[in-house]
Amino acid sequence: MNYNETEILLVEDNPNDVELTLRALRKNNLTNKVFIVNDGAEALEYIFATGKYEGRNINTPPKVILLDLKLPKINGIEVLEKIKSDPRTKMIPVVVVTSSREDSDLRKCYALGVNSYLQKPVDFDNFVRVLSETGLYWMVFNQPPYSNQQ
Amino acid sequence: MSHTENKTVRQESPSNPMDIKRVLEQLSQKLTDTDFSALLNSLNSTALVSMTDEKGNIVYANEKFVEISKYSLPELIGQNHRILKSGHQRDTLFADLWQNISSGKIWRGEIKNRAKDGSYYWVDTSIAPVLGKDGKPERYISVRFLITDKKEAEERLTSIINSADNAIITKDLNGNILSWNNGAEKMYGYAAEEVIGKDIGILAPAGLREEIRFILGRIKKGERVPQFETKRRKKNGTMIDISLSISPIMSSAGIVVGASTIANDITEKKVKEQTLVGLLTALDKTALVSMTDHKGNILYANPKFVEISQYSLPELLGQNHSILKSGHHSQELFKDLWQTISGGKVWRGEIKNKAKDGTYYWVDTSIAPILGQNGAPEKYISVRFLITEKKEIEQKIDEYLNKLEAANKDLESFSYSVSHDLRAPLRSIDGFSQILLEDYNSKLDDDGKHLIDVIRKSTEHMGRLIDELLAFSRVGRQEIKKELIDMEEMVSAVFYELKNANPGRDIELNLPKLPQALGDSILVRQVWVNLLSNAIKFTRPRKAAIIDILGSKTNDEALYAVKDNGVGFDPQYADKLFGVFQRLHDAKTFEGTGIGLAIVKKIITKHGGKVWADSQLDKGATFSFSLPLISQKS
Repeated sequence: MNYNETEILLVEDNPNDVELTLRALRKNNLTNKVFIVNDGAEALEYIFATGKYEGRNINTPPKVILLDLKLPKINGIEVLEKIKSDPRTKMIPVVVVTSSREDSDLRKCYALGVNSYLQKPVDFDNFVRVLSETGLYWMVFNQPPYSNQQ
Repeated sequence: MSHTENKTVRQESPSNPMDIKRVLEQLSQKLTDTDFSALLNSLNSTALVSMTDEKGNIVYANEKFVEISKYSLPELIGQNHRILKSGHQRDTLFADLWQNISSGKIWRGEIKNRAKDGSYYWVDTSIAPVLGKDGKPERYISVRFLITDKKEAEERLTSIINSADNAIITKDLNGNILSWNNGAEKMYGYAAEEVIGKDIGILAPAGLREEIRFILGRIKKGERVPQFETKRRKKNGTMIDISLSISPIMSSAGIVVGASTIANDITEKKVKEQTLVGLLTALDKTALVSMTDHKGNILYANPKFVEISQYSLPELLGQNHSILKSGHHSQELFKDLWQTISGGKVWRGEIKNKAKDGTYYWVDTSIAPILGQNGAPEKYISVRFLITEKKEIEQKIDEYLNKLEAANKDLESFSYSVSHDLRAPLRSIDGFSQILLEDYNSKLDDDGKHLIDVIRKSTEHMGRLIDELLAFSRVGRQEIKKELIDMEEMVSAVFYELKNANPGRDIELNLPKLPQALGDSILVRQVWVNLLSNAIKFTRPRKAAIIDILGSKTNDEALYAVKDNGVGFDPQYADKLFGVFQRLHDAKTFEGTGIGLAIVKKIITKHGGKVWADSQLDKGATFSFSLPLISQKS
């Protein structure tokens, strides 16, 4: 897949959740431009076009990043902090999608400038509804801060 | 007034009048008339001269007499000399006078007279009888010298002596008491009359008679006995501590004739001193006491200091106190210490010191400066109490607190992990069984579909369990922010929310006026949500559910209750209701996780209130709770 054409960057380490998320997005035909990374370190390399993703064009950001909080290597909060504190990336919409509803996580994320915070419903029907509608919202209804580069 | 005269009456021993006569005869033989009249002139100009008959009626008075008495000569002549009596002297004095002169003797003494205008004057009086042929006094000639100034000075001195708090006593060289002032009366309990002429030894306690002899011995040699402290016995037998100083009394010829003693009662001072000594002794036993110069060099250290520091006294003296520094404290602490004490103030603090063998000890230290004449600290006195054990306990408490904090952190990260990690597999189970149902629908018979439904129902229940368990642990960790809560409004809002979630149910709420509560509104709201949901849930078998809310108020707490007409519970299990995962109904009849009431209890307990339940099986249940009203006005 051409990672310069990514519209949704999904940062998720749990393969089951990846599969369920993709299934939810498929409901609205939003799966073709999803790029998946499995830990925080890889997410940062992708976003800042370093390491494994050195060849990527940093100027073609995804339309939205779906970010889990509990991630291997570098956790979601740190990833969010790095994105939101760098002028090159701070405008990318970031939606935290996590199992946690802990107050401390909520407060930290909003303080760092998260664009939205969703708790993953345990119940699959709800899960599908929340994820598919979120995808639709950010892909179709929301106006990104930058013009589409393609 | 009548007793201001000297307690010792001076009285010249009467000379034989015949002797005087002889002297006069001899004089008159030697003196010319001119000489004699000059002598009389001179006498007249300085003395009050008068003559009375044998009864004391005045027959002659010179000009001086007239001047001083302020009576005219005609007023005086023929009057009895008594008209001049002041009334300030004892009758015994005059009895003694008359006894002497009427028996032909000359009398001399000091007399206080009253002039015509009421003023007083003192005269040194000599009265000589002039004998008739029968050898009996026919007339009396008096010569009086004015001594008012001298007597007034004496009176002033006497009044000063008598008004002094000190006992002022004079005695002769044999120890016989000559004078005794009011201070002495008060101090020893003897009146002057009781002791004048008596031996001073009556004041000495049995063991101290020798002391008095020894003092008199020194006085005889003309030595002064400087102030010293001793004991004396009062009239009533009690002993007093006194401070004495004794000086010899010299005659005009420079010979020691007696002693004057000034004594102070120092019994009270002694008691204070003994108390102080007792205190110091006790302090010495329990505290490390030391003194340093203004630079901190040790000038004194008590045995306790030596014992605890393990240095010998010679090792300590002259050393700077900093040899005991442990290195535990910051420079700022000692800076503050020196700034305080060099500024003349007392410093107090807890200090860790190092003993000679390298072990440490903690002392609660107070350092007080002793100011020199220029007002700057010259020396410092330190009192230190050993608090090593206390500090060790404090350290242990600190350790436990740190461990507890760490344990709490662990617990926090545990519940954090639970909230993240326990949900994920549930989501998978639920998600994939749903996918199975969707993607393989045609291949599954009804039984298979039912099994998948069971899986999904179980995951749903497990999800709720996790949510409530997390809510329960969150209540434990959460800080409560108290505010005034309008309970009526809160109950009614919660109720209608719940009622809307249960369409088709006939539920009646009786909500009276409720007292305001003081609590965390989010948590208290949770209490109402849980109690009202229970009431709605357990009235489900009733056609019409009736929920009564009750509220009352005492001085220090507000009481609330939720009463329903539901299925109730067996009161023997009442105490189990509030435990985590405790359920009294099976899941088929009434769904639930068994955490709702545990959360209620935790919230109410955190607020300092109580929660309890009453019920009879099948006769409804009442859940009550109290919330303290501390800090609430009115």
